[in-house]
Amino acid sequence: MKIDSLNKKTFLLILIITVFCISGFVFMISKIIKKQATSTYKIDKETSIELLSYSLGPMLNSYDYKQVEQLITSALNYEKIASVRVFDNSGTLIKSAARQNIATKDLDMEKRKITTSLEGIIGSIEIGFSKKYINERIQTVTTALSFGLMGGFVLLGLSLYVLMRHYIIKPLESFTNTVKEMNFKNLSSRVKVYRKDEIGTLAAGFNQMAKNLETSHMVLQESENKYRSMMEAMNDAVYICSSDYKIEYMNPAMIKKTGQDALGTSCFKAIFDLDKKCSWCPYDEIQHRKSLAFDVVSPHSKRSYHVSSAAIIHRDGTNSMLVVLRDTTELKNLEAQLIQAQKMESIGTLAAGIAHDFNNILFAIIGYTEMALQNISVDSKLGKNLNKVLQAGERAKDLVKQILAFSRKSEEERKPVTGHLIVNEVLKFLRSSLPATIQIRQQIEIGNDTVWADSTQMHQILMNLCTNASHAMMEKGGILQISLENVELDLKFTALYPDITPGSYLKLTVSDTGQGMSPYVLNRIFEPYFTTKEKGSGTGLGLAVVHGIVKSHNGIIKAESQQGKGSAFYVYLPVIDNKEKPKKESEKLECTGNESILFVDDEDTLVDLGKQLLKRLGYAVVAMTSSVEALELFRRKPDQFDLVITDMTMPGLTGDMLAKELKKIRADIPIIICTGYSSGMSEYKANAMGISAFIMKPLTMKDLSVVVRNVLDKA
Amino acid sequence: MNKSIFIALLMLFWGLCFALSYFFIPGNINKPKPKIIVNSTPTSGSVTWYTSIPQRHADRIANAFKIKTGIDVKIIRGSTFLIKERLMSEIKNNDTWADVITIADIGTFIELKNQGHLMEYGSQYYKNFPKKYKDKGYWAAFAGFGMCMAYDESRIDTPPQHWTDLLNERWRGRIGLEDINTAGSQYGQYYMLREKLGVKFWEKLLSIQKPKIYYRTEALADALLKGKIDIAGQFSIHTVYDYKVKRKTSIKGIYPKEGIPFILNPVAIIKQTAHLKEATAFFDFLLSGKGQQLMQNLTYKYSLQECTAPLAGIPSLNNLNLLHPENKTKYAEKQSEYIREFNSLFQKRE
Repeated sequence: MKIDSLNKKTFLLILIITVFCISGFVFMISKIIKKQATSTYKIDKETSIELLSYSLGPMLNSYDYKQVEQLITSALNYEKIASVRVFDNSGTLIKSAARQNIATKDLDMEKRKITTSLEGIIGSIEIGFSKKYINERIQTVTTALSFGLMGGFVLLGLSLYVLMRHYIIKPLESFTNTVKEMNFKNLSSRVKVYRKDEIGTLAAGFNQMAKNLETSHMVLQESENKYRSMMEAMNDAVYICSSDYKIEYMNPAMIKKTGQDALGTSCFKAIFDLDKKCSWCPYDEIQHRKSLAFDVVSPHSKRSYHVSSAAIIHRDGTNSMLVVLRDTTELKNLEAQLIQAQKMESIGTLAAGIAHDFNNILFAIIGYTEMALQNISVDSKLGKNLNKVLQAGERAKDLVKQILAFSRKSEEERKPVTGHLIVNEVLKFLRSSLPATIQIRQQIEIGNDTVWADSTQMHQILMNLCTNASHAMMEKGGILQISLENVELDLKFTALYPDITPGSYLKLTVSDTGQGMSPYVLNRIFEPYFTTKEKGSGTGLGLAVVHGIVKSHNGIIKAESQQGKGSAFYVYLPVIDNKEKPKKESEKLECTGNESILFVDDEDTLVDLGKQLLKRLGYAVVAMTSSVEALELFRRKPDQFDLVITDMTMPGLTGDMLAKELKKIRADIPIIICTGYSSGMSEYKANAMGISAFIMKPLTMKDLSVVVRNVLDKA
Repeated sequence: MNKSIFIALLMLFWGLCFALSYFFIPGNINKPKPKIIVNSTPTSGSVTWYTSIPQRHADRIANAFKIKTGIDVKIIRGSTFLIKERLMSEIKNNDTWADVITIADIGTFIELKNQGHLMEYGSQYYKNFPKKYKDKGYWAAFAGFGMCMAYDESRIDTPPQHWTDLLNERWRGRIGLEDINTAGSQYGQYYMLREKLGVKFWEKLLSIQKPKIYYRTEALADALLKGKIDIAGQFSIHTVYDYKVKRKTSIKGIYPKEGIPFILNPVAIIKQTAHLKEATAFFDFLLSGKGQQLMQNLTYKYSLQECTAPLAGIPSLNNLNLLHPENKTKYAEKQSEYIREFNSLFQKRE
């Protein structure tokens, strides 16, 4: 039997003590009783015999044998006396009395002389004391006492047990039960012992301690929940490993990264799939420092991580390591993109700067060449050469445009954009940049290809799609086809694409005959950073950007591909009413006039050119290189001029500021801003300012004459 | 085991222990007491003794004799005249058990001798007795005692001094006497005071003084002590001794100078005895020094044996005016008459 409880121990202890006490006391008592009984017996014996002999004296003296008989008979009422014999002094038996069936051997005989003071010895008495009696007496007394002691001690033991159980064991059991009930999930248990003694004090103290523990546990739990929530909410992967590199904790982000909860496994194996400790493992270093941070590249996945590690010091002196892995791959990519973008911006800025000057130079080249051609025969050699110069100038102009378009800032500006113009622009650029092995075809069959879009972004869409297509055919060559057509998307079609509604759409198709894509790749091509190219060959953002742009223009993009045969991308953009039809180059005629024009440009060459061109067209021209002076002139003579043509970028007063001032002086004065490049101005801005036209250099004389005429006609 | 059951069992055990404890306490066990067998001195014979002395005294004397001789004494005890009557009747019927007789009436012995019912036996102890106290060969005075008056000295300051003082009005209704019909000593006192003081005395005493009659000496003494009577008109000296000296009561004797009726208590062997040997042995014992001493010590009566000293504290016979019947034969013959007379006088009391 297992004695594992205080109750059982107490009971057993009390039982053992009771048994010992009973045994001890009984033994002791029996000894004492025996001794006492023997002593009492001796005294009784002596007393009896003395008493009897004394009493018998007078009786014998007076021969009162009746009384003798009575006396000795009554003496036998005492159980210890078994027989009495009275003799006279001659030894003659006077009377005897004895218990029946008492053997002599069981008697302790005692003889005494009977004397009187007068007569002396007058007889004798012989008393037989019962040994059996005394033994029985001892036995019965001992037995009685034993039972009494047994009962007494049992009662005492029982009482003691009951009292102990009530006052000590039960409260302690209540204590124990409460302690057993208590765990970290249940700290609300309390000891239900309300007394003013030590146990009550202990219970009260325990309850207080439990309360404090519960409170602190709740606080700890809240803290843990908070930090756990933080850990779990963190996008960064966090793990804790022991001094032997066994994972002790992984947050959900870490689990997601590794694809499993790798508790207990080696961190270098579970996370980085290495067979030994990572070369950059900071465990040893963090023992001496509080924390450590550094960047690493995973040897397998090649992803970049920013590693923050710190030591967690345990109470037993051992250390664990907390590691936060922040995947900085995207960040680095973004950084690279940013750098690239910054580079591009720099290039754009450079290009803008160059474009401005280059356009101005081209304006001069084209302008003067045009004027020169007007003075000579176009069939002459000089004429032919000057034509070539003019063509080169035109190409240069287009090239500058392409460069400007490519490096244009991302500031979105939506306006009606003519689709085929974008296509033409891009194709022009591509023709000069793609290898000859890639054939470019276009198929434009449209009625209305005007979309409300940002022209730069449209440009970007086409550029990205064509770039991807060209990359697919880079090795073996192929055909790059660009198509534009109007389509009507019905409900059946748009039901598959919740982002669009039924209506008229411009369908742009860019297809190639390249290597094609697998279904797996096809499904992921629009994912940001997804690329099939090697690192450094592509950011994986191109199609994602295209997708984003198309979506932002309320359109959709679809892709089809067949491995080994090629791919096709379909962009659907909603068309708008074509209010502004682009003018065809072939319809433009040279226009003349005789109005007065104020021409302002900070470059002397361009001022001279402009003056000459406008004069050739019949206009009266006042040309100035200073916008400030021009303003002053205008202020002095606001009605002198019918039109002001001004450059945009000028020192002191820029073209738009000049225009603004001019408008203050004369609100109806038509103003044309003619600029090589200005990021701060656009046609819309110009319109908004009340500027009649915004033209980009270089302009041919024809283009200039048309614009001037149109503006003057509208004024 | 269920805790409650266990505790109940423990309580039961405790109760059982206490019950057993009580049961075993010595004395609580009602063991049947063994029978007590009493044995006495082995007997070699027996003698029947008719006597008027108190039973307790007779027993002791018998015991002493038995222890000495081994002869068992069967005692037939009664008042004097009852014993006499019984004996006479038995003798008449020739069926008497008596071997030895001692009663306080000399007349009976005279009568028995005259009728030839006394065994003649020459005891060696006759010689120790004066002539007036024996009829050698037939009877001798086993004991003698005087009759006096007695009073309670704690209540009576001036007791009567003479027999005639009893006739004082003061004592009327306050005198106690014994029954003459049974007590030989009462007859003896009646006879001797009648001889001395005349019948008138008795007539007055019995008729006028309205005495109370008691049938036992102890009753008379008790009435005296309790104040039912003031004077015991008939009280033996040995009874005074017993109550005054032995029992230390306030009873005191009055020994009138005119005379103390002296009653003899003779002893004789009945001729019809069936146990002559035992009877003679007993007769000798009674008259022996030991027997006399024993009698004296037990009964406080006077031993008339010359060699036996009287008890200390009892009035000496030499200092008393003893009254004896002048004629023992007459004493015997007048017995019935005088008893009737007594009764008659007593009947006359107002």
